[in-house]
Amino acid sequence: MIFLNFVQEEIMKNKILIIDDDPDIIEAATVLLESKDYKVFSETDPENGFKSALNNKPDLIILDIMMTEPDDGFFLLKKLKKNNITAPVIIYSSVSNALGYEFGKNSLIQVDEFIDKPAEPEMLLNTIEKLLNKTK
Amino acid sequence: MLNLIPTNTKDLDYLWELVSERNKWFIKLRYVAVVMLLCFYLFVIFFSDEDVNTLQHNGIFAIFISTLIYNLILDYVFNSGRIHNDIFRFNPLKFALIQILLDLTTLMILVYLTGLLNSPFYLFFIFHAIIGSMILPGRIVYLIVTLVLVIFSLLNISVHYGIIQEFLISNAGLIESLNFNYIILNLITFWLMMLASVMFSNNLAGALFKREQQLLEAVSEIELSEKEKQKYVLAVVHEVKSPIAAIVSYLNLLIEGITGQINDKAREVLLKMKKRSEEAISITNDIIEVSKIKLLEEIRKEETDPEVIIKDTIDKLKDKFSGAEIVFTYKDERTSRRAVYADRHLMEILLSNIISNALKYTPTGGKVDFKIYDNDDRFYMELSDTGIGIPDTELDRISGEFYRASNAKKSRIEGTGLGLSVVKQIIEKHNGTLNILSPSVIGNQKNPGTTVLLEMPYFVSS
Repeated sequence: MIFLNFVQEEIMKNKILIIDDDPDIIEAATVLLESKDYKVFSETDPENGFKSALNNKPDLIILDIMMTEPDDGFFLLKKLKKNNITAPVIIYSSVSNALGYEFGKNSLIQVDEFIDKPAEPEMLLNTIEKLLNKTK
Repeated sequence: MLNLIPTNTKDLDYLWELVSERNKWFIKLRYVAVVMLLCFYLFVIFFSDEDVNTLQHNGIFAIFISTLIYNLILDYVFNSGRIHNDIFRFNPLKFALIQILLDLTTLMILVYLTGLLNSPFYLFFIFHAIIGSMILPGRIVYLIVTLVLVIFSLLNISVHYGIIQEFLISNAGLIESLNFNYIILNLITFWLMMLASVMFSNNLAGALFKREQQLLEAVSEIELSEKEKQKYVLAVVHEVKSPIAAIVSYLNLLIEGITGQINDKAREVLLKMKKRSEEAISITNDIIEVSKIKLLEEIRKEETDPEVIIKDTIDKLKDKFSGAEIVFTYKDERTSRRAVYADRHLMEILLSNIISNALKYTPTGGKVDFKIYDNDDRFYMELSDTGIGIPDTELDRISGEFYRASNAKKSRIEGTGLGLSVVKQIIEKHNGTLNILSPSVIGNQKNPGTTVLLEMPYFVSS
């Protein structure tokens, strides 16, 4: 019975995928999100990030922009949308505002939210909550 | 196909612009010439000797009328959009050539009617040779000038031998009665003068044109390398910012107690670390902002209600005003509610920069006045504070990158010296200007304050 409860909770947990080339950003975010009972997956490059998005079917994706290439994140985002991955995406980048301005209005890529690195924990959590509630 | 394009032309658009400008100038100048012709005609009627005959009278009058008519036509064609900046179509250079040929023909008739070598007008050929050299390629000008010289010489010689009728406007010595060698000497001098004028002015105009093109190329190279530099800056700043962002992310975990409870002393230290790290991040953000604006090729202008942007920005900064106990007033003194043609996002950055600045440098209990107004087709934003002001000698440097006023540095208020530089970049992208006045219009002895005056056109077609 206890075991069953545990499994049920695991299923109920929202899954979040973090794609960022900085392992420290991933770790810090993972600790934060896991403390709020999210199930967190992470990848440090766009290709594995894409595979993980297909396999793990996350409820929300946190995506960096400047990885190996300065605009990796946007290409990955395009690819995700093309492959019908509808999970909300938070662009989490240190130049998100700068680039977001240029890309944000582009109707080809729909971005749900831009957050400038580093985010206050509360703000990041609130944004995640807000987006997850919207999709439910 | 008649090629009128000067050799070594690299920037055709620039050439068209240049020639069009000169064409316009020729048309204006010709109206002056028409007035002068009329004066000359009246002079001939009222003051000259009896020698002037009916044929000359009518001829000079006909030249006056025809010059006026063809100039009106040229003026019409010039403004009708029939001239295309295209090598293979009717272009500004062909238009210039037609003008020069018409002028030379008219001038030749006038010179013939007024005594050829005895005419006061034949020196105008030199003027035309110089003008032609400024625009047309050397070989075309030489061809035209040689033709003029041959016709002029033949006319003089024909008159001397009585082959054609001679006209005079005064009873000076008839060419018919002059010594032939004297005529030849005169003609040779004229030939030399004309050809030398063409040679020098053509060389000069050519060299000048080449220089201008080199200059334009150099400018575009500088612009390109500035862009490269900004891209580099953006990349470097990103590299610097990333590790700090990671540090702050970890600090947040510690401060929030997510990794476990910490004691108050440790927490205090961590908060200090966070504060300093965030200062570093805010500096990198400012630099990113400047680079980004410099890299923007075009800005997304749209019709925007300035009032909406202003109110939004004020709302965001409201708490800071009450926190600092500063009285903020906003007035809309425009004659009508009009939209400006502006980039919303950039305008928000601009407003938030100037308002935050006023807040930052105005002591508690101070005042910040913000008003917008208009004048003709220009939109004005004026922000005045009772802050620390800017020393007189530093006003012209204040909007430069990384420049901070000496009193701001002394006051130990944090800043990068990039705020006003951003404001300047943005307003200039909107064809506007930034002016800084200190003391401000509401300043006092103790707190001189600063007025930031921004001005831009309501609507720009491009």
